[in-house]
Amino acid sequence: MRKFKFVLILAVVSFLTVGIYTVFIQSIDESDFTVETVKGDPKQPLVRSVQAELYDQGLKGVDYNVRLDGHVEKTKENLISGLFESPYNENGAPADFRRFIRSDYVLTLEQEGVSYAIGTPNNNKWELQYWQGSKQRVVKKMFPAPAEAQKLVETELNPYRRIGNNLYVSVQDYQTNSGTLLYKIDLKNDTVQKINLPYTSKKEVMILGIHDEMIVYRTVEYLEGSDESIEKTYWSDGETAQPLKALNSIIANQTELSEDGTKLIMLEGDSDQSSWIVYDLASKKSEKHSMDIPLVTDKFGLGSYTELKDDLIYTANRIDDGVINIRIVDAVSERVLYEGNIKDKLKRKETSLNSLILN
Amino acid sequence: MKQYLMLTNEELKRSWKMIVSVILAMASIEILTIVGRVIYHERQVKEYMSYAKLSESDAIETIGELSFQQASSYFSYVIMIGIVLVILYAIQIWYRDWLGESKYIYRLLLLPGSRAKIFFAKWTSLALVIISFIGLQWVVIQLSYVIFNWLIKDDYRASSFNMSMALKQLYTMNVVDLLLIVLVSLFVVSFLFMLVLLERSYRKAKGLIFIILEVAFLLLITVGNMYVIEKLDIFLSQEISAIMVAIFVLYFVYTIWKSLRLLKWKISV
Repeated sequence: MRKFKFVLILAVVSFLTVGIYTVFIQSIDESDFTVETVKGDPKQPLVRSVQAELYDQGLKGVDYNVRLDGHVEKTKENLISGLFESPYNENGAPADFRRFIRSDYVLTLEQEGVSYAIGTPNNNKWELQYWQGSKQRVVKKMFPAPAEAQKLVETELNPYRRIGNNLYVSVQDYQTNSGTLLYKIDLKNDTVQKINLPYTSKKEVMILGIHDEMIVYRTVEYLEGSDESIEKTYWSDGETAQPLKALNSIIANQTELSEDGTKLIMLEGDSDQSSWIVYDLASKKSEKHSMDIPLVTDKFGLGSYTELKDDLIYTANRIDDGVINIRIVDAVSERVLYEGNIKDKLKRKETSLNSLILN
Repeated sequence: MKQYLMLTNEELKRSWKMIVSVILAMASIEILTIVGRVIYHERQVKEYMSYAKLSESDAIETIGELSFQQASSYFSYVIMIGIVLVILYAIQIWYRDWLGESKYIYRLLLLPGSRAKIFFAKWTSLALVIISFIGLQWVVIQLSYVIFNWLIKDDYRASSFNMSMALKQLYTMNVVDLLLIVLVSLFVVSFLFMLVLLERSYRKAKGLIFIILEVAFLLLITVGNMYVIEKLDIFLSQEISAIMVAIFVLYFVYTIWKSLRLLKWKISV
């Protein structure tokens, strides 16, 4: 043994000190979450599809995905796993599809578990692929580009939404700044149809909602030599367009057309995310709604997240150390469909809210 | 095996005083910086109290509490010095055999059996030094934290145990990351061993040219591969990672293979 004295000393030192480090790692507290339901049924489909994404900013960086039925998924990253991680929308998708969506000219849309990707490698044809995770299949379609779109120089196809069998796609050319075009791709009959948008020339257009061929959209025109812009909202049937002047003064974070196409729901600005406006398109009257949430604003941050989707407002707010309040509210009736608190038994202040994932 | 272990022991024995001195010096400097920071912070608060005629709590509120993260901010510089010393040791471990008065290398080269054991004895010595260095540094951090808590008044101390960003890069609280750090360190050691053996094989200008060619080759395969990958633009990020990892592993094996060949065929008594 004396012959290997120095090797043994260093081997023992290495083993012991690395062992101390490993024991320390094991002893670090990790959040232990439970979900307390305040109102509603956590098993109803719209609640089951919600996951809160939380992050432990402490020594051990741990990501948590907490479902409202109490199921918790924990991810600890290391340098190797970070190298081989795929974005969540690519999980399980075939390599060909993943290769397609990372092309410079392709833009994607996630809707109801389906990833739509569309782009134009040249201005003559449009290439659409969509990955249906539940069926584990990729659908590929190729369309000849419509005549107006072929004239553009650098075409960007932006999938807006799938309604029924139609996928709505807005088309823009930032190089020539020639305005936005809107198309409807019939996925059943493989046809592309242009939708007329009055008042669009040389303006940026945002589609706010589509219902029964009625389109609500907003135009943004930048004033020359100024940082300011003029925003106008229109309600169009493809032939004529009515300006919705009452909406010009509202600063909204997110705007959506209600499922029945009769109202516009607007989440208000950054400072107060728990208030929203419902604008009735027929009567042209707006109603202001708000929710009272006891937010905590300390050095660990506000911890607040709000999203509007399918007439529902999903909110997540840090209301105490280790407590995240989740609410699902019907934006039109202001009825709380679900309320629950995700509670960390250890009340770790380092665990913060990232976002809500709505599948 | 016995001969290999004896050689490793011999390598460590010859550097033992240096290794222990460096570790003790680094630990002392780190603990002293903690003591210094605590004393300096306390003095700052006291001076501010008498200057602004404030109570202790008001002065702390203005100056701020001292966290272990702030108090240990100099640790990363000490660790950098440690890394440089390990690099120098990886070079010195070969050159001392040639440059010493007794020309120890001749005794090593004349030993019966494969010369690979000479290489791996030195390599293992470095591996043990690196792992001990990482482990002992962690113990020093923990010890410093105990001293920090013992020295500082409760009112002056901020939050719980935390480390600076630089220390968090080394201690990611993940054992897999630790293995990866050790692996990358050993790759650097192997690369340095290869460069030293190239110089010792060809000597002077020719040796220098071979070193330049080897470094150029490494740059060529890394930069060249990145360029080709970017130009082709057909790989997914995971595939790019896999290619880079494969190149790393292959080059790692190459450095060891090349070193062993040089030691066997080019270096003569």
